[in-house]
Amino acid sequence: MPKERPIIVKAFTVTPDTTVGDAIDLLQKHGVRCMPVVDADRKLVGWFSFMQVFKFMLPAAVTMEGGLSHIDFAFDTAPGAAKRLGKLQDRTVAEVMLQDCPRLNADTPTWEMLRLLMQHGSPLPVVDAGSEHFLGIVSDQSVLESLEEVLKDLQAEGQV
Amino acid sequence: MTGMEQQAAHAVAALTTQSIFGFSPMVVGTAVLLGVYGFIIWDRINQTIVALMGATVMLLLGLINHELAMQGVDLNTLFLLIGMMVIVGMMQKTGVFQFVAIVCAKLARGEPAKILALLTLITAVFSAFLDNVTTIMLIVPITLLLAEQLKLSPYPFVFAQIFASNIGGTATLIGDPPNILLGSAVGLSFNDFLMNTGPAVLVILAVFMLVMHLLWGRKMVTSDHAKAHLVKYNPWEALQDKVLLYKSLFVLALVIVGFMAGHSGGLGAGSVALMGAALLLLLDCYPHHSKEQSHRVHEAFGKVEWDTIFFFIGLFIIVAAVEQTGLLNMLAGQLMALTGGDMERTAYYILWGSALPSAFINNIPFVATMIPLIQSMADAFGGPEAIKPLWWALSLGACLGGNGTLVGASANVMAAAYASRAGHSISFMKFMALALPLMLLTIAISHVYMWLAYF
Repeated sequence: MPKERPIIVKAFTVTPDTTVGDAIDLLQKHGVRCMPVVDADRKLVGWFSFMQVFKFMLPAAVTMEGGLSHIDFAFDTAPGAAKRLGKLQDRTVAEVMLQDCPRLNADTPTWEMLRLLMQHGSPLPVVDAGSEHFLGIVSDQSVLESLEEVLKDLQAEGQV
Repeated sequence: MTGMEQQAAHAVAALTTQSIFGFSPMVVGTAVLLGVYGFIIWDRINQTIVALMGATVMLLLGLINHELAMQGVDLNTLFLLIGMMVIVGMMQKTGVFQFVAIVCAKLARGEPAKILALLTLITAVFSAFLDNVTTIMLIVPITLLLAEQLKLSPYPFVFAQIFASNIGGTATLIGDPPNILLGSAVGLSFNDFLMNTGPAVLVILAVFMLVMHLLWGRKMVTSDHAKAHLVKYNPWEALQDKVLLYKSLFVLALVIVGFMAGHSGGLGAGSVALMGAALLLLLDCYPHHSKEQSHRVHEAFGKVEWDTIFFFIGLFIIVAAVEQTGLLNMLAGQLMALTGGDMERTAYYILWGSALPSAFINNIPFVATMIPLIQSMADAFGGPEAIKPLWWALSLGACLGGNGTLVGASANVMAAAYASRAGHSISFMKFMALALPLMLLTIAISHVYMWLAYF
């Protein structure tokens, strides 16, 4: 990974004890879909996103392993979903976050990075391999911009 | 056969007759069998692995040879299981289970007591014709949703469905693996089960539904708002694939007719089931091109529970080996001595004696072991026809016994797992406190039924 093009970029983070209500406000305020959950020791402990909130707005019968594969037979479910959203407001991020989120290291090779982005979506957190300290995120934009710079260099050298 | 005949037969088959590490083959065989039971109960190691390892040990120790082991594997049972698994696997894609559950909720106009009764009934009916575990896997999630929408605890619903699946499965040849084993080994037909265990099941189901109503149903209260919301559900949206559903129901009907008529025509149930699976696959695949067909067939066979199939294979070999040692003949003799050769008493012993172990251990190994044991009593009682009541006793005891605890049957374990995933864990003791007495009640009803029907 070329050192001069930062693939790992900064991200807004949230602490595990923040309330879900406040965390959703943060997502909306910063205009992002997700945030890494980082504890006081700067360790990555989870991933918070709208998807995690949606999961709790659905009945357990749908989200559990082996649960209902679709629920289009249920009508008039907006009030039910809204009520669940209301109940979530005071819970903490720790209760709702994705705990075993996929993560990259600083020296994950580019191909593997691309493959993981394809598999899990963008962005993905980067942690230090030994200490699990949060270093930043890799996003589809950051990877693409970095590789575009690499391509420019290669073209300038006549290799492409 | 006599000891000498057995020795001669063993010598011909090149089986061990000498001692193994200083013990007789019967002792060693019994030890391996008990070891297999023990590991299955302990659940530290997956039961399929245990069964296959048990078979390995039997073969390595010379307690059975390759030829007899292969003969012991009952292909008719395996084909019946596989064929039905393919058919059910394709039926579940249609969303029919969810459809029926929602129709029940609407028919009941959201009334919890009626929904409890209807869901219990349809679970029993599904379980009679399709395997219990799949029925539970497909009916429990929609039940959990309905209970949640009604703001009721799902426990009564799940409890009732566990019982209903085991009760319903007792009524037919294909409803529960013990019946499949029994039917295949002894030559009992679909009609035989329907005529013999069927009536008992009807009575037991009716009594059970009454108990459920008195215990829980009549006390269930929910808001009119929740009821009205449930009634708005559209069951037709739950049906994913109407065409496949019609094809599946058509094939299922043919298969059942095949079971009923085929037995006398020399057509085994296993063959009928495989033919049905093949037909359904053909109906599903013929409009598509080769690659898509390949994908569909692969997917259909992927739904077969191969671990269950190999569990059966391992078990067949183990029981065949144990049979060779003469253990089961000996136990049969002891049972006869206990009952004084009176068939009525023997039947009751088998009924109650199957129910209690079946509550605590998986009933399949137990039934697999009991079949040759009871078969060896045939001559003493006047032939295979005469001991038929003993088979009904075994079927009722082993199938209904599975209701006694959360681990008594695979369907129970599956239901408990689902309830737990949805945040409503069922405690082993709480379940048993009600389930064990209720199960004993169903056995008592069976006892009366047998007394009236056969003696």
